[in-house]
Amino acid sequence: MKNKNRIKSISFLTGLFLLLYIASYLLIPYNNMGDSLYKKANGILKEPKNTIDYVAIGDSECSASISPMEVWNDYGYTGYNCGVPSQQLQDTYYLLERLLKNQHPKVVFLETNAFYRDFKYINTLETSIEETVKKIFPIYKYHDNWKYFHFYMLKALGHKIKQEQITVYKGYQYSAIVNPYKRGPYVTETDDVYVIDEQPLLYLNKIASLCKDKDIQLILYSAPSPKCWSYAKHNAAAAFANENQLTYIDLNLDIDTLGIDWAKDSRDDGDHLNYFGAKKVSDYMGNYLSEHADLTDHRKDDLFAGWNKELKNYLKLTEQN
Amino acid sequence: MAYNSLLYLFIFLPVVLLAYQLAPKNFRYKVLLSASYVFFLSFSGKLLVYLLFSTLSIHHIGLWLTSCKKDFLSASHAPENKKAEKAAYEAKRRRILWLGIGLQLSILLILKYSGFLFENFNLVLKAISFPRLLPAMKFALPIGISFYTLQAISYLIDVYYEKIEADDNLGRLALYLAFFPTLLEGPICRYSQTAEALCQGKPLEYKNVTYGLQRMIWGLFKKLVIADRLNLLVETIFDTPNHYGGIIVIAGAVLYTFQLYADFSGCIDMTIGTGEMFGVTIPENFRQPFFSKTASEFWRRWHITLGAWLKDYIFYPISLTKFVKNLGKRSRAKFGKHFGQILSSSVALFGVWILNGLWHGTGWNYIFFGMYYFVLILIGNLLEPAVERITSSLRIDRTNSLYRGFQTVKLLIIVFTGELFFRANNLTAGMNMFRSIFTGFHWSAVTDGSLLKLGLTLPDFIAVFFGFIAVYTVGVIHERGISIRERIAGWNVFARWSFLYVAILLVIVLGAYGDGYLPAKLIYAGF
Repeated sequence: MKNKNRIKSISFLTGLFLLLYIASYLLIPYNNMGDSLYKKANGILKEPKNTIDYVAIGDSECSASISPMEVWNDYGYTGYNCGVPSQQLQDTYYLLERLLKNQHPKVVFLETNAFYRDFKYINTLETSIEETVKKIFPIYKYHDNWKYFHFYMLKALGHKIKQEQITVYKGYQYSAIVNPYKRGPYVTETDDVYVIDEQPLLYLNKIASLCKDKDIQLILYSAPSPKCWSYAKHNAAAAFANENQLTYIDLNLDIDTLGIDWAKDSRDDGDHLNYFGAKKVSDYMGNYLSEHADLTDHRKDDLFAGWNKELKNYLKLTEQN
Repeated sequence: MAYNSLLYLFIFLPVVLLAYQLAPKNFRYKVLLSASYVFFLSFSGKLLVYLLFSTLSIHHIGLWLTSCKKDFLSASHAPENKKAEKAAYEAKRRRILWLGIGLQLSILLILKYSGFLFENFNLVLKAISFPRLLPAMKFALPIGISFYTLQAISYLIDVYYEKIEADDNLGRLALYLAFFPTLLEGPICRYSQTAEALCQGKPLEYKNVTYGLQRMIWGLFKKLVIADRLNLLVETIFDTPNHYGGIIVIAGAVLYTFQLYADFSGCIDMTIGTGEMFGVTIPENFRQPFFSKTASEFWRRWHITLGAWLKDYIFYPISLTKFVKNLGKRSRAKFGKHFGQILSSSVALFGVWILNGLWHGTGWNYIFFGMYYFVLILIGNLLEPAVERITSSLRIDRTNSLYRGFQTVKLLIIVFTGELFFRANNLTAGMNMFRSIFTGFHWSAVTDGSLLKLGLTLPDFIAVFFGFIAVYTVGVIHERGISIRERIAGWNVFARWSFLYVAILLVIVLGAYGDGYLPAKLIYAGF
């Protein structure tokens, strides 16, 4: 390449970087701009420091199965559902690491479905590149805020970004769609053990030791899901729990106690629970916390008045069913 | 490491470009080959062994075909034996060719189709209450196997018919099969189109690199702004098909068609753009397909390289078989020239479409998809004289815009319907969805906000609409034979850079990626 072309290329790229940097400031949020602005899981980063009692984390089986507002309503425990569809354990680990900088939950519920989702070293590399780009050019992270852009945001340029609490029903993925599971009983006992692949296992161990270091009780749980669950997977999770002295709650073996009715409680043919199924699981988990974890009922605590406000919206949403 | 990932765009590709430029001329194709294998490994790991097997086998068989010919030509033939010896030589070459094709196809058949075949065979065994069933088969598929297998077969056939010479350079042949920009979604290149350019080791040129980057930005725009955003809505409708009917299903079919086009053609833009940076011209795979007038024209403009492959290696060879030639003669005598010709060519056409369907995947919906187009194109061919008679007797000008509009609407309905079955989870789901268009049709779905409850908000629809307008405008300009990049190159530096900055910003800001979006796979990479 000739020198002239080199100078042109460098000038073009410099201009582009400057533009991206400036444009980032237009899209960095400076206040609460709506329910779905931060999609669910990341919302926990905006919760006031050390206000979360428990965290549920995992993939869509998690985000669809525990509704923290239900637990709040019945038991007064503050929780956040950090489940993200297709989440890989590596992402779970990084999200957990990030949220633990601001929160100190006593319990972490880790949904097991992501244990069986293999990923490669290259995914780790891809994630770390993405995280770096997000840091250098916030526009990459906040690009979707164009949907909420308003000229008043320009006033915020140069001001300190406000980290306000946002309303996403504490990460729960609400769905009232009913699409029954019709294929009958799915629990067939076997001695087979599903092999958890190298990469998920690596991050599973990292998550376990992170919780141990932070003195957090890690509880594995499997949400009811005829489509994703198998006895061999149960055996694998149980073996891991046993090796690491963790509690493992497999709700698939407790369908009757839960009262799951597959004609009404699934949104997609037994893959995920809908709101009606999640309500039952949330009650179960809330009860479990009341019996096994030393948590405080915050419902009458003024510091948590925001939760009651959010509960009103949540009930308005769910009462229509 | 998909083409739209940061790892590919900001690490892999720049490193390969740099290594390519720094390498000595004769070593450059080795850089590309190494990069291609690294790229392959990033997706399929040890399944690289299948690609290596295909490469080694076509290399060996190509040379075998050539040496067979050399042996025949160098041997002395007595005049009385020459005919028999020539027949024996041709039979031997045919056997070698079939061995080569058989090796390629057997890997594809075992890895991709055995599960489907066994599953259906077991259904038959169950139906006749046979006491034992075949074991369930499922193999991991190496990335791009459907694409590189067709390239390998085309190489062997071209060598057999002496359109090209067998390549004794294993590295060049390996690169032809594995060139990383074409690995995921094609296009299906011929050896004569890319092999030489891949190995000539031309240094990077400023114009090629900038033009290539521009093409990649356009591809990213289509993929991230249109395809991946539509993915949210399409997945909702097709993954829970029982919940929807009428207008929602129509919207699903229409928007999936646009998603597929934006995804596949966007990926091809990135492929062609990458090739361009290295001075390699990769064949076009799309030519404004929605501007077509008929289904057959649509397929000459959509996935062009697959259509051309099927035409050259399936349609013509079947048409030239003795059986089809005799059928043609007999049917022409019985049904007249037009119908006779169509009847005989329909045998080859059937072969093309059943393979087109099967190539896409192993489900009855894909076979249905192929047969759907076979029947439509056959009917179109059969009715053509009648349509011509009716339009001329009614004095309808077939070139006027009203008639063209009618043809476009008819074609779009055909394409949307086909894609509904193509995308459906299976044939039964496709049939149910198609039926629900009529049984669950309510105009209220347009006004009661149902469309806004499927994963896309109003701003999402606005972004997608903006994307459509951009794609349509570019299509119109290309249809007029104007090169947009040449035009842009003619602008002054301020206008040119401003345009590019805006284009890049639009991709970054309007792209459907990151928090809140499911990672959308490249659709054709799954085939």
